[in-house]
Amino acid sequence: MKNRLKESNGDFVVDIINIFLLSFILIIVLYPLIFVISASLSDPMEVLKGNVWLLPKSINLDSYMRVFKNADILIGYKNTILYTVIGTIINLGMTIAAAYPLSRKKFYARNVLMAFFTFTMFFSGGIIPTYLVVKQLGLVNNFWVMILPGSVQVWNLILMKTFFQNSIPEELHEAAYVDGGTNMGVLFYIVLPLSAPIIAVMVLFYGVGHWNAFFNALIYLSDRSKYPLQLILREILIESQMDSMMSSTSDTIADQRLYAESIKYAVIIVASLPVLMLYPAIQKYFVKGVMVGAIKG
Amino acid sequence: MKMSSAENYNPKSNKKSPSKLFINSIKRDWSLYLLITPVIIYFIVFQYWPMYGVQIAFKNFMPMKGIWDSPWVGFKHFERFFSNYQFWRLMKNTLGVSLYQLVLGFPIPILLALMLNEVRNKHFKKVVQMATYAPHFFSIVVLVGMVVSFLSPINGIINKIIQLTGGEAISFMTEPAWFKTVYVFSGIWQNAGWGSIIYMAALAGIDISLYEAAAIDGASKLKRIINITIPGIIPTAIILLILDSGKIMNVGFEKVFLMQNPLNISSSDVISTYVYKNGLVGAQYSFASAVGLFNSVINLILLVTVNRFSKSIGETGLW
Amino acid sequence: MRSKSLRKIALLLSATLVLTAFAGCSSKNKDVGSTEPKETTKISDKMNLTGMPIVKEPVTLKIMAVKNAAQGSFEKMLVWNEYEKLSGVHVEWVEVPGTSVVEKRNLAIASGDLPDVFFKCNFPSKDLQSYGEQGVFVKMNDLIDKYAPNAKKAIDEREDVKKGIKMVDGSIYSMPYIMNVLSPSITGKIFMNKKWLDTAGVKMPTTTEEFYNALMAIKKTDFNGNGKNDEIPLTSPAFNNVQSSLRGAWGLGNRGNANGFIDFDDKANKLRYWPSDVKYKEFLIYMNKLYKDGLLDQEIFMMDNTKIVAKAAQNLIGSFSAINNNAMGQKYQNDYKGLEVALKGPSGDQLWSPINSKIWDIGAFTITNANKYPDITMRWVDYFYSDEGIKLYFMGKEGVTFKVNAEGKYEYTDEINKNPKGLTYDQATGQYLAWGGNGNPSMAIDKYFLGAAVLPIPLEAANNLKPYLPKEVWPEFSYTSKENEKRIQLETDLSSYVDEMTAQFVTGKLAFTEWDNYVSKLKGMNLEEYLKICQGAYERYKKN
Repeated sequence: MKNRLKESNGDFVVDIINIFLLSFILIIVLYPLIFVISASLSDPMEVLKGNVWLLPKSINLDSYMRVFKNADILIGYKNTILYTVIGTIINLGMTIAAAYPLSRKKFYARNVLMAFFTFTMFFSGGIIPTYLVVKQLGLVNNFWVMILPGSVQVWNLILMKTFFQNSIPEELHEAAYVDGGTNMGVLFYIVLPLSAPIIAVMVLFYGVGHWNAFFNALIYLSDRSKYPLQLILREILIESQMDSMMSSTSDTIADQRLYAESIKYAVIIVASLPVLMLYPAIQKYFVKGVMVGAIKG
Repeated sequence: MKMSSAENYNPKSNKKSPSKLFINSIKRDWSLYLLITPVIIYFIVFQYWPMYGVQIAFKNFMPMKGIWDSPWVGFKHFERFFSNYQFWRLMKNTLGVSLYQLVLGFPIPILLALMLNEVRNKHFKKVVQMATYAPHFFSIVVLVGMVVSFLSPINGIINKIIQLTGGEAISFMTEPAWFKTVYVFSGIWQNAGWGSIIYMAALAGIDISLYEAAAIDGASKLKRIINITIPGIIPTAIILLILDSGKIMNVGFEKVFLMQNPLNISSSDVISTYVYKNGLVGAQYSFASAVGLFNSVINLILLVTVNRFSKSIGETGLW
Repeated sequence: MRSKSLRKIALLLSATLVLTAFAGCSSKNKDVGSTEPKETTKISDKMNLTGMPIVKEPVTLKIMAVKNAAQGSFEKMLVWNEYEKLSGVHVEWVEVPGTSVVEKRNLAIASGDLPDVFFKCNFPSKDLQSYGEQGVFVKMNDLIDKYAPNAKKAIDEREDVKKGIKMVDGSIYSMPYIMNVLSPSITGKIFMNKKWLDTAGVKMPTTTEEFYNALMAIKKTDFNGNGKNDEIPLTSPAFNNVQSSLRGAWGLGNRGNANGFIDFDDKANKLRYWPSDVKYKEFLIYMNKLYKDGLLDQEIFMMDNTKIVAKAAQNLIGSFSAINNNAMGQKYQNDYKGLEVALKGPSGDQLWSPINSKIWDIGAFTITNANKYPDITMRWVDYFYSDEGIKLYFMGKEGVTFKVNAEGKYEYTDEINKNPKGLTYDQATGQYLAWGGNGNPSMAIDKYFLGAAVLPIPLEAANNLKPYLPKEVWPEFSYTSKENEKRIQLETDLSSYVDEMTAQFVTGKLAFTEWDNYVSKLKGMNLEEYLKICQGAYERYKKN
């Protein structure tokens, strides 16, 4: 799309400053990222000694091999993918189901329900009663315990409701009702199609939330075959942190530390890459112009 | 359902009782009520059903007796918490870190989103977005490990740069005065990109014809940003600000714990680490619950205050 | 409009709270396990009183156990498979990672979802007291007398174990992990880089003065040949390791590790909180000198296991304090040797005090009130206190995991020492045996214990230090729940303060003119009250 509008000098300066600042930010952020990648490709001894600065040293894929050879990690991967996909779908459904009614000014129960939901952000029964409830529902050590208890995050609900309220003008709704639309019709034919950005954000937020989840697994899962990835990783990486607090649990500290260090960076890459790849897929929904002609049309 | 808004207009409506209005509302919006019902059920089951556990904060929890039959101790746990000789230090550090994080960390994702919004080169934009968004995925353990090594006074890169410009190496991790800064800046590094995502979404929702009209009218880029872009994301920003105010007391445990050491503890001792240390020795559910309740009450008060303030100056609010 | 919606909100909220209160009521009855403490003296029909198998027909026990990351699944572990064949008891294992054992074990109890046994879950004494008196754990005294002859013998033969595992009222609620091997019990041995000392012509130090000089010699020379004077004369995984080793040269910690900062003031004939003693000041002055003169690692207060392994890999370490020399890595660990004697301090104290009591873990094995077969369970665990049982538990099966060499010594096979799949020692032992980590309801004895602490170098270090160990080593004292309530909070606050101020004194951030302020602050934190409670427990201990 050719820009036929003339750019003033002021605009040009703004652009230059912008690019300059962003490049600076890019470098600051990029350095540690490159470090992690390099560290994962280097000989673990070199990393431990602190010899890896920017580029890998003594490149080898040992770290990655060790990660993939660990059967637990592969199981964790599979489980996490399942939890993430199924969980996010349910999250989306539930969040839209609440955000849409709450965003309508004419919805009578609006404020009451908002307070009802928001209250739970501050007050909760705590681990024990929640565990008892989950137990009574038969969800302990069950696949669904990783999905159902977190069906709706109030934070995300509020964000979605705000988006519906502010980004979709009331006139659009009025016009729809005048044309004989129902609430559900408006939801499916007008609101949702225009909500690509917020839906994309929700997929990201909920998806990543599932991907990084470990706490419910820690508390409710005893079956190793259901463990998510993060729980497995924590065992390997964090267990050694606890060493210094309790009396040493490992006789052979050096070997154990070396093993943990040697897979640490590979683990990060392996654990984060899929989710990182999610962003480019989602990113096209953050495109401007979603609203073009909506009102005039 | 036709002409529903017209049908509902009734000059006598403000004389109708709440229950009548409610019934009317169900008649008119029954599909909305139906839609939101599963969510209400979810909250009742998973959030309100266990809510009776809040009383643990006022009891001496004994597992064999269960929550209901455990002995009542009133405010004993709260007193214990308030009378702790480090109480003021804990409050000061917790609030200090939170406020610092809010003041610095809140605007940066917005600025980042604004800056990215003005970039026309799609490839550059994508690269910057992905790079800033990636650190969010580093586990805390790795993040702190990297921070400690980058800040090492012996061969950390930051100190190398300081020394090159003629300064003296600073031991960032052992100086109490630096703790907050290191904590907040590393948090910004990790989360600014991620935090800008919601603003990118909001920006995508701004009507593009507004820009075109402004450009035709001869408005400069700066003017367009000030008059169109910024007002476009203010509602989102305000909601997030209100939500963030409701998290002031929640300085997370793990990151602080990993960054804490005996030399910086006068700045790094926060409520969550204190509760952890005291709770580690035995199942101190009651005590932890009492402190949690205290935090929640303060958070709620702050959130409601900020929300009220926002509405009073004519902006949006949570409800 | 505003007040209307507020009223509605209030109404709705109170309605839901009331409703949930009723909902919570109905779940009340379901959230506790059996409240009646089990009869422990019934003899099950299924059990044989002596010998193997233990049961006449298969019996299953559900056991929650900590499994660390290096270990394989307990289901497939050799030790359990072999023992099931022998005893006839099948175990359904609930494996818990070490990182979440505290939450999981407490949640199991709080929710009433009790296993039959908590194994290796490391309950501290205070939990044994409080859960025991609430009836969650079965009282074991009678069970041990009747069904655990091996454990009874092991316990009764050791006075401090016999007294130490009892709660205030004499009840025993858990089987202990008895550590009868000397070297692992000495938790802080100082190892010095003998290779460097020899090169410099410096002898192994025997006094704190000589130690200082030896460190100075290390600092001044480029031993690792990299052109920089970056050698670190003294470091450790944590400052507390250094403190534990050197404090004896000022007579501190004279009754061992088990009671934290409490030891005995011989002159005053009562308990002492040694961080408030003037001798501690002298110790700190010495440490401050080491730090100031660059002899103590400038990063000592930020050290951890990973960092020391990293520094060792770069051949930077002159000396360190740890339980064994393994942290130095395969390449350099043999350069190090332990001290030849304990260091003599400026006032003539020559004490080496970092020693654990024989009770390594007090809460290694508890029987819960959900257990239908406490007697069978006691017989089951008793085996691991017998010679055969200890052998199975620590060594495994002859020909598979261990062999006996020409001198009659027990050794692991190459499957463990030189594992063909490249597993580390911990991982290899962990595929077959469960003893890795701590909390074993058994007894570690010289014949069958092959932890890294008994390799030649740490073993020699331990034997050198033996003459200088405290004459009397206390186990951890027992307290009532009420005493614990007060005591633990005081203790946590006091030791946090001590740790913080110690760091300030050692690094020189706080001058020693502030010492009196520090002591009065401690007193102001109810130090006297804390000591009184501990003193009471000590007198009970003496009487028992």
